[in-house]
Amino acid sequence: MLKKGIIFSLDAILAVIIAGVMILACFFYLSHTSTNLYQNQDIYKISLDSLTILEKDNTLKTAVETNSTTTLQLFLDSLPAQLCGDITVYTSSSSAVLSAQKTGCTAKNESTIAVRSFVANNFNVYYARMEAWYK
Amino acid sequence: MDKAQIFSLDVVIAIGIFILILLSAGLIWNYSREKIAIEETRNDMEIIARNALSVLIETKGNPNNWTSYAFNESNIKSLGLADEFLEVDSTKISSLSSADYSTAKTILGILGPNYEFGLDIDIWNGTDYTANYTIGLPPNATASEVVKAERFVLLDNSWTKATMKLWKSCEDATC
Repeated sequence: MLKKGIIFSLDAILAVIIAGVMILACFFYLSHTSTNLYQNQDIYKISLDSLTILEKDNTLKTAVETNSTTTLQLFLDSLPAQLCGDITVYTSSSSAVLSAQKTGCTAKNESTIAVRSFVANNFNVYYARMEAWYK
Repeated sequence: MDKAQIFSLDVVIAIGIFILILLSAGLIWNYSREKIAIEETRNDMEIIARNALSVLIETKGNPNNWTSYAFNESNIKSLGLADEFLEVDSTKISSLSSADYSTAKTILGILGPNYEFGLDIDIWNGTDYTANYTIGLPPNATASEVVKAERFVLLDNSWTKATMKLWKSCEDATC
């Protein structure tokens, strides 16, 4: 009696496995591409805008001159819910004089930093540094 | 004389596997093509929304006193709501608010297929940002893509949030 057999050699098995792995890798790679290209740009712009308006409406100047972070804290707490941030004010010799952080924000994810200089206390130069990150 | 089988079982299996791989490759091709098309549209919308909002809040417009002119593309080269960088002017906002939507869209460079925009200006009242101006069209229920860009400005020396929503209206009856 003639017996029938299937020739399925090791190299054929390897070829099928490699093809399967490549197809799965393609699906995995395509489904994990990033769609949030602008997130870091966005928080950087928001930080820079924040420092600009706080400087223009004299909030930074007043905060330094009264040694109070109340208004800075109010502004930080008004930031969008998904956004965290802190503001630190330095003298021209890089010593911190004021600092405030949005309430409820602790752990920092990937963050961006914006810096703006301003004048307060008889034309002394100060630097405001805002770090922002997503919750 | 014995007859031979030209189309053996191993050839059938081989063709089956080949077709399976070919179908998978076709599926990946189609999936990646659709994904790239969606991402390209989204990227285009993200760039347009951010550029339009930047032009509005960072520049005065061209001409500076565009509110004095008839609102059309030949008189106004560029729209800007600012008096100074990030200090917007309520007169310019009111003028844009009452201007023709299609003309404003064209001058802002929002020219993509079925792209619409809505601009919200919300002022800080001491406890929250409240809506003061809504310009353009807010996204409707059939919007297929919505992109949002948010910036902070000063309006009458008050903290103000400017939000540009760029959205794509539905192209056919199926969505």
